[in-house]
Amino acid sequence: MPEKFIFCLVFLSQIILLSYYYPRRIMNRIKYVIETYPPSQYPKLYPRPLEYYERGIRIFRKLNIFILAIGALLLAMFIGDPTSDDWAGVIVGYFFIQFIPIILIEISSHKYYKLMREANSDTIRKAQLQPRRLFDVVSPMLLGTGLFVYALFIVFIVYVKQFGYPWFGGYINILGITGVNLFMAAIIAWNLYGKKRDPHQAHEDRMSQTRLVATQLIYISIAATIFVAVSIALSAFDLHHLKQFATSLYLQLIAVMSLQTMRIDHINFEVYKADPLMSGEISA
Amino acid sequence: MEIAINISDPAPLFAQLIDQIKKAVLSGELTPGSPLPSIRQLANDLELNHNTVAKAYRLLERDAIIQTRGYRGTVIHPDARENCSVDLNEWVNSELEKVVKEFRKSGVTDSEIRIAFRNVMNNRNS
Repeated sequence: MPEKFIFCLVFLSQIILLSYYYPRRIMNRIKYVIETYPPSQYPKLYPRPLEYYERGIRIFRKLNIFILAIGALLLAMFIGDPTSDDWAGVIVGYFFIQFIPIILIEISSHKYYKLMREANSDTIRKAQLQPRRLFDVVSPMLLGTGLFVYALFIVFIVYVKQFGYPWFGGYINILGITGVNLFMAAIIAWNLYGKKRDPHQAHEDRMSQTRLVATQLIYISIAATIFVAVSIALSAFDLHHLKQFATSLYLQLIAVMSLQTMRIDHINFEVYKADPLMSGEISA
Repeated sequence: MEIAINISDPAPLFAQLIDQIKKAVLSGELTPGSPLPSIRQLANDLELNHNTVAKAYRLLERDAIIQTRGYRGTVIHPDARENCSVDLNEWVNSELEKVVKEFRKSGVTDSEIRIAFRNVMNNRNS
């Protein structure tokens, strides 16, 4: 019974965190930007009319309310189900539903930057004449920790394999985690050396953003590796009922790590102001 | 150090790049051994074709203003400052002027010089 109660609390926290707290934070951030940096003074920030973004916020809010309601329904079902001992699959499924609005925001931001690049009429292009290196954005300590955890994971899998559990995937676990790590590494490399998504972004802001993304991804990689190891350990010790608890906690941790953003007051918004020549033309 | 390229400027983009790197070397902003970004990074940052940046780097390397050290990347050449003052274009112009003067002295007409020059260049390219 206490396990069921604790799980209810953990699941409730997942529902609130991902379908109320973070969506609210995202909406407040967008509203703050619109109010503080209006299109009249910062036209480069708005490749589309303001109404488009306001409509987007309304859809985002409604979608999250709907998902919140689904979460509340699931929680009620769990409380009312006396045989509810393995909800790990439901939790993961619900987590993916909770992430739909975030994915939609990501897709919109991709389109937003594409439009921004197309609308960019600047003929002067600037770049820093110094190489960007991995350790400019990631601390060697953090990267070392990530590699150490990965090495420990390999040792752990080799160790568990000798017991010959029928449910154990063996080296597929190593393959999976290696795939995740390679994917993370590719995203870091793309952020570090790839094209600028935002054509107006200041160099310092780009570096800060890359630093944030790289750090988040390494933490997520560490968390994913530990989670897989913990899941295997729980199965090995026949503690399946704790898996749902661990899954929800892990997913929340992933969400907290991946939804961190740059402090808005640290972003240089001056780059989005109208060019003096352009504003002169407009006023003329 | 920031570099700025004007895409509406009639000067070729690779020449603008070369010019700015040379200016930075002469002003002391780039000193011998200073690392430069990779071709890919600079091309992506400036939204230029990789070949444009590669051409600029190739010409700078030819003039011993930069040097490539394999996987360690590209750095400013130890003699870059001295080499920046050597203008190969100017040297080619002055050498050609001398030759043209000699031809004219010998009575060769300008159109004959042009045709001969074109033939020589075409032979070189073929």
